[in-house]
Amino acid sequence: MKKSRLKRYLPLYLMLTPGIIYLIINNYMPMGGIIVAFKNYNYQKGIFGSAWNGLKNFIFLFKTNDAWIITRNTLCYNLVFILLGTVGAIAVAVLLGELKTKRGKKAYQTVILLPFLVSIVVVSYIVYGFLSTEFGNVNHTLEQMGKDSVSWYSSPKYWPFILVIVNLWKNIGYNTVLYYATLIGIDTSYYEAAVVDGATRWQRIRYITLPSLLPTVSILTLMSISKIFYSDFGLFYQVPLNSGPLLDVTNTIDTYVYRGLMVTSNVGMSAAAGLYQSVVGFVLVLLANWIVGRHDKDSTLF
Amino acid sequence: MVERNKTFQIVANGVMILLCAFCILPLWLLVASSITGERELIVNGYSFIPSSIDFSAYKYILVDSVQLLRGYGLSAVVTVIGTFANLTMTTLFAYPLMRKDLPGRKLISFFLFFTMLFNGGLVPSYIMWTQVFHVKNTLWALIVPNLLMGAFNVIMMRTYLTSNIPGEVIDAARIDGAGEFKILLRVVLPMSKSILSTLALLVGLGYWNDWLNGLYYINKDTLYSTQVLLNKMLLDTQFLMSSASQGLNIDASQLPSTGIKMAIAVMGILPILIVYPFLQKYLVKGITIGAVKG
Amino acid sequence: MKRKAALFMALAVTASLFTGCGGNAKGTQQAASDSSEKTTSSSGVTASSTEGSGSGEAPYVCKIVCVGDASSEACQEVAEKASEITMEKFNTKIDLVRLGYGSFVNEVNLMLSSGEKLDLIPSFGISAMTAANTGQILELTDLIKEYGQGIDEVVTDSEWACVTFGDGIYAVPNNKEKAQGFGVVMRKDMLDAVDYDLDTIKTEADLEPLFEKIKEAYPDTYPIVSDNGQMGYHMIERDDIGGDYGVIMHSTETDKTEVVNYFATEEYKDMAQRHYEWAQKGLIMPDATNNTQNAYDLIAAGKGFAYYTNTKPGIEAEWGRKVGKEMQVLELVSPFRTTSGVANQWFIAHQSEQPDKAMQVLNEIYTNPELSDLLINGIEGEHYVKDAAKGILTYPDGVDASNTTYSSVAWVWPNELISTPWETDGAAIWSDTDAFNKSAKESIALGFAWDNSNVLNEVTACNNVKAKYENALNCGTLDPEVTIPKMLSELKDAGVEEVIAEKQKQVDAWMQTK
Repeated sequence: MKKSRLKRYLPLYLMLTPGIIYLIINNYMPMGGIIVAFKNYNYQKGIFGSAWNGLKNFIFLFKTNDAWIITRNTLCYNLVFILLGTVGAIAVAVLLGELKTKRGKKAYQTVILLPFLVSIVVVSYIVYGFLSTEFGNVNHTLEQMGKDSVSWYSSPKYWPFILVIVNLWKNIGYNTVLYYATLIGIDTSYYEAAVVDGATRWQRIRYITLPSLLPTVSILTLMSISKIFYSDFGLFYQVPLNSGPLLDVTNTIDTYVYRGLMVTSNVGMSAAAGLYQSVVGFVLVLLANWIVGRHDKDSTLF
Repeated sequence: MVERNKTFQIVANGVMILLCAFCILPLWLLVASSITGERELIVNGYSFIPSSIDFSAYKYILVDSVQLLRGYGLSAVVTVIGTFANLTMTTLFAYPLMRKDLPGRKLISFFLFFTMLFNGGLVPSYIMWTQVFHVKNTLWALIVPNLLMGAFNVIMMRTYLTSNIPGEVIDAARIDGAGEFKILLRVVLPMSKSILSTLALLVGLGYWNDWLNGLYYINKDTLYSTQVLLNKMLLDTQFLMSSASQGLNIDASQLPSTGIKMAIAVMGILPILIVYPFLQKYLVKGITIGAVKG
Repeated sequence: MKRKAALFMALAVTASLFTGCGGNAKGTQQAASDSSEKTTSSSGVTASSTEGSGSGEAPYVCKIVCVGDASSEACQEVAEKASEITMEKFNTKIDLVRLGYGSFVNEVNLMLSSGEKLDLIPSFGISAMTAANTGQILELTDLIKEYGQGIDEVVTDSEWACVTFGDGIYAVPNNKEKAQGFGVVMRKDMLDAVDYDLDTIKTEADLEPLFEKIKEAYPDTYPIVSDNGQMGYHMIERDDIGGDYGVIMHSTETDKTEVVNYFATEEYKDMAQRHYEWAQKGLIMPDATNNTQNAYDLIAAGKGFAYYTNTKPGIEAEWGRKVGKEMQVLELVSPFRTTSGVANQWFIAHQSEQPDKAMQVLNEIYTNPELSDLLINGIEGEHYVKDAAKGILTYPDGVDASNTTYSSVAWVWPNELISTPWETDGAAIWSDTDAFNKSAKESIALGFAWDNSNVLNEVTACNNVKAKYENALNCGTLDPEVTIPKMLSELKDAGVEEVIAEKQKQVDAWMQTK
């Protein structure tokens, strides 16, 4: 019995081998570096030879009153990004699927993917082109309309919206493409049957398209949750131009760590911050994965 | 019914066009400011329609056009080899994971996903790749580290396979006497063209846009890909603009102006704009063969 | 189960790998990095050379990594020429790599942690104190005594003190301008047009009538602008004694070494208050803290009239080049010397196999004008042409700063004062610099080297508070009446008092030994 089982699955394990080797080399072996978070790193002594430092490297994360602001910002922005990103991308993907023009589909797909290709540093220049108090396009337009210009980079109240819009603009194409791939993979016979049954467009979307997308939604969301304590450094640092008055709404864990360590560049402390982010994400994703697993085994990560 | 469908198509197209405008307008501002002179930018501000056109930013970048051309060539080679290798590895990993009967499936999935969460940082990876595999200043450095296979893509593909390929199809093939590799090639691959072409696009973009590998593992300028070249310019500008450089005597003519930064971005996207429609034609062909619908 | 075993094995391999790579500074594990170097080295080193055997026959290769734009090819040429000099004297070849400004620190840190071939590096962005504390660089005290006499003749005792951590010297200070003054740089044509008596201006506050006049004459021009959102130079003489928090105010005039929080001083408050009022009156550009343009671009375009600057020999010409118009500098704080003034240094990397050879090479660069010229300015005829009569360099035909394959960044190199100056700086620039250094007043704490390793957590937390307020206060965007108390209380929560107390303790201990 055992032998025949092995024989049966051997080809599958064989297929997995290159990937497993790569993951071990590229990901697992360097993971030893995580222990730097608990060390007073010394370059001559190396990662394992350096002296232990206990939890001292973690203290700075919780040292200021900002600790809760940065946690709140990181979490809330990510939640909004996940929610709006998913809903928006699904809507666009479904709409694309319903379109008749092949040429149009192609063109639309290309165009909405373009912002994804622009590096975040350049995005920050573009945003500045719009919002600069002195040179910005928006303020010029406001002035022409006879309204007062706004000092965007000193007014925190606008920034939650600006950041959400910029994030949506940059990433909607990417997410749409992912959902669209799943959508066109749906077996067409379902749709044909539905049309025969006289289902309306909305009913087709409601009862065929959306349920078919559910596993993908679930997986993508789970993966986002694992990164919920991380933030796109460029989006929160470069795009607001590192502006001090905006810090209450733009400071996240990553920008906090960067600002703190910019001068001292301490290896142990930055490793500690990374570990903290990973562990929280890990706990959350285990929880979320367990909850999803209770409803639908196919939609879990592992 | 037909009438209603026509209205729907018009409205839907309208919505998509608006969305496209939302995506493309900021990019147009980017292009416009790349062809506006620096002084003019300061005096008149950023505008969608530049009042005078000035290509000096592009001249600045193209000063070393040999290097830039070589960079484009290198990027293309790396992108093609990398995408092919990545897709092969990804498919080989994703297919066994869709097989619910595979012993240890959950463990391997976890083993895979775990790499998305935890990493040892740059230093150990760097030591690994330079001291053990000696990739520094070789073409491998642009292809192998980090980019060869990612958990995200494998999980996307696995999810697609589980939800779009019924287990019965595979069982049937096996009963017919097909081996696993044959099932993968003859049954699974033809049914996963849409996800493959999508992943090809994303992986390809990943390789094309990557510059971190180049930055860390290459310091020989004959091996700079386009993005490494362009991003090095950006990075230097960023640095020279930061407080760290205040009072340093660095010749101002080495400092790219706003227009040049914008032009750099345009030069990075341009090839994709030109090549992508052709590429997409083939990708979409694959998609439509995979799932023909009205 | 099997898989678990494999995982453990992988981890074990990792462990041995890391201890192997970082374990020994210059000993056994070099074999691995050597063999990798041989295949990857881009320099003029012949592959046949057997490295590090120490037999005396085979030449040593000294790898220098420096900052600035240069093509690999040009670096190789320069390294080959430089090797001719060093081969003859010390049987050592030179391998040269130059990295971009933006990535230098990152790349060098990686090289230092991987233990790959590396000998000499400049301090550019790397703090000597941190590098010494974390074992990135070697102690040089004995090496300097034995092989660095040429350097020792140029560097003074108080300068050596600036790079002494614990009991040892860890860096070689560059020979360049070592003092700085502060002043304001203005557009000459506008200044002439309003015809203002500059002799009446002694402090920053005295600038106000001039700025008002400029504003009147040129309504579209802001009298003072920011540089990329910064107004970093304050017209206040103080010694930041090694950086972070805690300064000694009026350090050249006082005999007390009281360390105070700069942001809590009257001087800082006055400055912030003044800038805030100026911003209200339109004398400072609006939203100066969020401007992403360079000051010189703004001034050149007529949007700005003046900016604050450091002062040193040749500064007027430097600004003139950047702006493209004639500029005038008015010095408000006369030049003074602090520990931070010797911030440009050279190190020997911890993995150098033969630090003695590295020191010999460094000493040669420091003292040999021919070698210095080569490394700083590149190959004659290709990267520069020399006017021997005037003793200056210019670009060859068809070459300029934007397309040269070997950019000249003299101050990064150990001793720019022995190199040939460029036409744009003038033939007298180095003698002026020397005179400038000698005439500058000294801070009472010159030579004190600050070690922040006991208060790293506090410093890190304070940096975040500073990021929130400092720039906006400097630029007059926020009202100091409200903001400074808020900033001070947050700094206090973040532990600024511990940092200052630690610094005071170190300064006191240092004064005892002085």
